[in-house]
Amino acid sequence: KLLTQNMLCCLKCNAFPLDIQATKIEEEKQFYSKQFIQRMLTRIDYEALVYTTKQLNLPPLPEKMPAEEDMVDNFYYNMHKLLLEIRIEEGTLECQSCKRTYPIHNKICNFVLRDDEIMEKEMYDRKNTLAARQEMREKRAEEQDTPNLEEAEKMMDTILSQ
Amino acid sequence: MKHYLIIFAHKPLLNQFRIAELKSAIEAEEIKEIYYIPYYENKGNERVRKPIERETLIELYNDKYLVVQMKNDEEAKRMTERCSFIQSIQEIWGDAKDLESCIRHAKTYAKENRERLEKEKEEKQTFKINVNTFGTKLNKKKHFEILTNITTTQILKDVLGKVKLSKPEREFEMHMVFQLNDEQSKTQEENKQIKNAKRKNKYKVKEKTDDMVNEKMKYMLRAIFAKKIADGGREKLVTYSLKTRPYIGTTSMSAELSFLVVNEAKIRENDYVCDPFVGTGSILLAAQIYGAHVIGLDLDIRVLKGNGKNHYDNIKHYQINKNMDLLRGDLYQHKTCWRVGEIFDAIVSDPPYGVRESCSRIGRTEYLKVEEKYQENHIAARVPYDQEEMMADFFNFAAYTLKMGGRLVYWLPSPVQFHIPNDLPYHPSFSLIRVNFDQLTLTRGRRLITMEKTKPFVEAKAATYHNTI
Repeated sequence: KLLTQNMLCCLKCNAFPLDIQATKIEEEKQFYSKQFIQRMLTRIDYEALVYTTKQLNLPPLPEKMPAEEDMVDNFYYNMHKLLLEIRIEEGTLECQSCKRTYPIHNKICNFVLRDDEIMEKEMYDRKNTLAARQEMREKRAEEQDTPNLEEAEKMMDTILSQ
Repeated sequence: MKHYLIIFAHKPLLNQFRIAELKSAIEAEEIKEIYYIPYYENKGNERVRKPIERETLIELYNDKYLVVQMKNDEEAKRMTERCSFIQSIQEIWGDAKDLESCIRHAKTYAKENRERLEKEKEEKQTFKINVNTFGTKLNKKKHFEILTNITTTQILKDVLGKVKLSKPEREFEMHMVFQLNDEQSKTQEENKQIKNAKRKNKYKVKEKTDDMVNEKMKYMLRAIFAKKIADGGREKLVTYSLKTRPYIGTTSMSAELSFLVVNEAKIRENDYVCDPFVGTGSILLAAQIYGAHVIGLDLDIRVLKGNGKNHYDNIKHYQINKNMDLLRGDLYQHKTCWRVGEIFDAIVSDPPYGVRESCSRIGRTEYLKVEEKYQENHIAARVPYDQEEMMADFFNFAAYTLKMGGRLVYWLPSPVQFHIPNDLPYHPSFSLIRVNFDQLTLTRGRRLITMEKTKPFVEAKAATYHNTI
């Protein structure tokens, strides 16, 4: 569904949004409830939706989300169709920066990295966290020199003023 | 504020979940004014009322009746339709220790509310009275006597209407609770002796005379006359049971427990719910019945595709008008790959703990690069997923993607002896609400834990969280 595609980032590089290249699309009718769509509109990235509608050659959407007063029932119904009724049966999700493809087969997306990719990611993260921790340690070592002096000065001021 | 009578159904292994389910239904429907009225405490003419909490109601785990004070008929109906352990909820007209005083109570109630009840009579003209006894069986004579007593009293006659025995518009019930005599209650040994004697055709049944019935009536504890308002959700257990469902597996959760989970998570219409360990989708089906939209994730693709039958077959079978979205995903990988902070209204799941399904994630002990020609159809190797790590990832995922005030509900396998705050996993942005214990064997069982998100998620602290479990 397009609603889930709106929430996912790439597993490797955390890029958003993921491109859809669909070979087979199915439209299933679903029960329309206005409240659900009102709720979801606050949690959606509207620009990403516009981008994907252009990719899939669907009827275009206005570029900016209309203000709350202008939202007509028609608008909600169109969003309902887009978000919930369009289902991608076969195709791929592709990341823009690292070009990793996640295949979709029988409406189920294989949103998983291989084992060697995960090992690479772990090693990369470990390096980063080690570097980050060293930075924190250095910062703390610097700060430990100064605050004692400042606090001591404040204490002296309060005592003298009394 | 009126008094209502709740009648529970009797299920010996699952009685402990009754009151937890009641409480969670109250929270889910946001009913604010509801009090428990114990039978034996009276302050002068008024009854003492207490809030509903499990500690005050432990004695009633095996009792059938519970008296409660609520605002409306509407709220009472909404609450009972969520509970699968309640048979029905009824509006009390008379409640006393004897039959006669019970009928007097009913008279005074009818006097005070005469106008309202006469309006009801104009709309719903037919009625019927059932007589229920708890502890004995009644003679036909006594049965008829009681019915005539009620219908011939003046004030009640005006308010009741016409009798119709099949599908009446209003149903009344007369409950009578008896205390068992010492002679009547038999121990297990005596029952065994009787069975053996029956086999050898030596057991003689004593004939019941009127005297015996009158003796039993002396020990009446309580009599209640009430009007039925709504039936509980017991029909759901029959329609949605696993026996008739097309797609099930070894890990599917039974209908009772999945409805309990959904009530604890406060799932209402138009919610957005996620289950990171879907399996065969039994918990999510219960969520869809209450009107939520659903996402399911699982690492095992055989379970998502199904063996000839699918999750979608389940949806067609029960004629649910919503669809579910399925993804193949590993929690270890996708825990930080959700774009926005607060997406889901509730997260519900039964995490794998290695008993019926393997608890593993994708990875390898030694690094080995896969060549490009094999990359498409490569089946990834697996590594066992440490339980503490899994719980830490699960909690971080939930804290990241849940809205404030959203609920996290999950099952945890645990031994019978368990210290509740200390032995449970802890996360700074969640606060513990309730723990329910389902005992499976003498020494082990699983606990249903509900937590609510009270503080926002701080990403920098996510790494340190691994050490605190």
